[in-house]
Amino acid sequence: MEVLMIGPGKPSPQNSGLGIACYHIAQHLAEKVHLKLFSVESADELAEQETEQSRIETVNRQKLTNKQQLNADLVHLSVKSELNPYFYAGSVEIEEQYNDNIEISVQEALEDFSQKIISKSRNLDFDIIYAHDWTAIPASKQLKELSKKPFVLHIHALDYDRSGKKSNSWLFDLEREGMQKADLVIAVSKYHKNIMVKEYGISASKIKVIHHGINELKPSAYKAPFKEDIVLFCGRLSLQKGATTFIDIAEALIQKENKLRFVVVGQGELMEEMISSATEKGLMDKIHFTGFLPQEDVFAVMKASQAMVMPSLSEPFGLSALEAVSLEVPLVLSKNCGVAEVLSNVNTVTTKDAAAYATAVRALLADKKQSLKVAKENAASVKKRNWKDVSSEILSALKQV
Amino acid sequence: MDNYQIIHFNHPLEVKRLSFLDIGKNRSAINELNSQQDFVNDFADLVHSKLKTVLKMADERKMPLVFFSLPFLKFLKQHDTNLMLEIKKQVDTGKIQLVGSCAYHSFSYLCSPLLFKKEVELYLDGLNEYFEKKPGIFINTACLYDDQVAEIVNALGYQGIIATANPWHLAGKHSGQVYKSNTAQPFNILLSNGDGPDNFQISLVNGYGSAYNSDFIDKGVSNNKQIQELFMLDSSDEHSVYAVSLPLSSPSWEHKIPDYTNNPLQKALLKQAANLVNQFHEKLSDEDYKLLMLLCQPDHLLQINQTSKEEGYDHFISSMNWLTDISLRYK
Repeated sequence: MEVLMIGPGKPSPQNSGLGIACYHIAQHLAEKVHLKLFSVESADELAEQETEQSRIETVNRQKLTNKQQLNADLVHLSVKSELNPYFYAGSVEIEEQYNDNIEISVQEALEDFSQKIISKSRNLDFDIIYAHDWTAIPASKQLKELSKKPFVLHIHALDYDRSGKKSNSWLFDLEREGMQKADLVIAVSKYHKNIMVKEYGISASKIKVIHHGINELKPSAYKAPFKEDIVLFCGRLSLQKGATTFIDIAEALIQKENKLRFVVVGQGELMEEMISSATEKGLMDKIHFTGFLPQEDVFAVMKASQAMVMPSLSEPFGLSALEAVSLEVPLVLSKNCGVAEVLSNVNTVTTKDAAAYATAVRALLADKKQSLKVAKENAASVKKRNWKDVSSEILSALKQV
Repeated sequence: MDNYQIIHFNHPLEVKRLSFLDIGKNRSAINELNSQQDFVNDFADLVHSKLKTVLKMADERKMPLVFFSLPFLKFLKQHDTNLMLEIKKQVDTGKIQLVGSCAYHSFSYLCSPLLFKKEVELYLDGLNEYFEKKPGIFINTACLYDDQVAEIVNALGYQGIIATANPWHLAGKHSGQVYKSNTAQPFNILLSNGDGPDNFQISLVNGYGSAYNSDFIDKGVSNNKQIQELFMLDSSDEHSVYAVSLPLSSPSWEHKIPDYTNNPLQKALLKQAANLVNQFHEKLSDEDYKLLMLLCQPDHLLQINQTSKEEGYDHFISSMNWLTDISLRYK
């Protein structure tokens, strides 16, 4: 089977969960099919390595990388500037000033990327188009029309998740059209499938849920130097991830439990806002921002944490929660996290309710023996499903189209 | 017309990046090698000729007024001992007049008066080691001045201070006049700039490594009268009080104070550093004090604000990691 995959080739700070998922899926699919991967990543090393070691062909779009990555962020920001009135003033002004240009620039980059894929694909043989998220949609639609080959769209996140609600953006329309045109849509959770059906009007019958999996993680050696328990946030510092809610949770917790430290792993557009808020609340000696860390260091900090909170407004899956679970870290999740579907026992809290999160974290820390027992059970459970299993399910779905 | 110029020589010290995972591992904070190499790289083109000019002015008995930061003196001594000895000779004979300031030319005062006091003390000790001299006149980094600065500097034995004029407050008075500080122990102030038709000028010049706009050393400026004498010209009873409750910086400095303080990241860093100093000032080691001062170097604070967002965040995160690293040693 010849599969033409369009999506990120490897994880980067810009694509995070999407990049990790696509990387693993590509690795395992390539063992069973002939996979041609169109990527916007600057993955020279990966391309060389993979073309030698496996049957993946990575078509590099290095020239696009900066623009594309930048645009991915800017789209995110421009949506947020409309929705987030307390967004820091400087950026709002800049975003408003350049909003139209940003949109045009993104669309131009997308069009350029899509045309290059189509041009390169003319001489390629493939049986199916397997695309990931919005950047792959325009090219996939056109390729489907040109080649008459089936088109499978794997959705990892939607504009709905990023903006926190149904918007009237061109991205929303693009995603809806993509899902409508696709022969099969793969959702990463039932939670996300419901969004596709309810918010995007996609027929439930063409959506297949395939949860993510996890391979063994290799954390770097690390022992936290703190006497206090660590409560962790791990993810992009964005509205979607509930980053600012985490500061409120920290404030609520510190009022009850002084011996805590809060670690924020990740980077993103809300960092200044979070730091400003933490400073105003007098929490800066309790909150640590790590910025971008290599994956093995992220896992090390996870492992050293006594609890992790995922207060996302809308989390299609939540791969970092799965990683934390596999490292036996007790979790508190927002109700809007797809990952809860693969966990047998997990605390979920209503979105944005900082006090409720704080209570849930306190409960975990108050009975560490029980929390650890649950965490170990969850870890054992999630380790049964790895990326090879996920890829097999995906391949099976591709074959049925 | 009386003209004075204070020539500043500094070399910022580079603070290493500290990852969150390296907190508590007793990593060394200062990148001495890089900083030294930067000095060596700049020496021939940017430093040597300026120092030669100062020495020539000294030879001609023009009595140049000079501030040398401690890192500058250290690297100069390492790189060109003979030049350092020539300077020392001229300082010994009084032909180069030393002006006191902060040891690392930092904005420690924007962080904490306690940290500032420590840095001023450190500078006095350092100058004593290099020159066995104590300067009589003080000028803060960027000529930053308010009443508390005067109080601290006065308590440390300085005879007078160069301050930034606040034009609306001066109401026509010019910078040639001597003022009294608004402190319990009156302290003499000379203003580096005024709003009147001055026949008196104190120019602040960037010899190397400072952020004063002008790097032009006017060889014609001859200080026939020692600047200390200016403070004693009038009877102190006649001096007007010059009150400044919030720090003013020199208009000759490249950036305004808010550029160093107003960004949320800068605010967080300065506040956290201040908390640390206030909490542990009696226990902090000299090395930790030094690191706190270096985190307040103008370049370091600007890096958090002026560079790209990502770079600014990295500087901030690393700086905060250093603060946590310090705090763990005392908790």
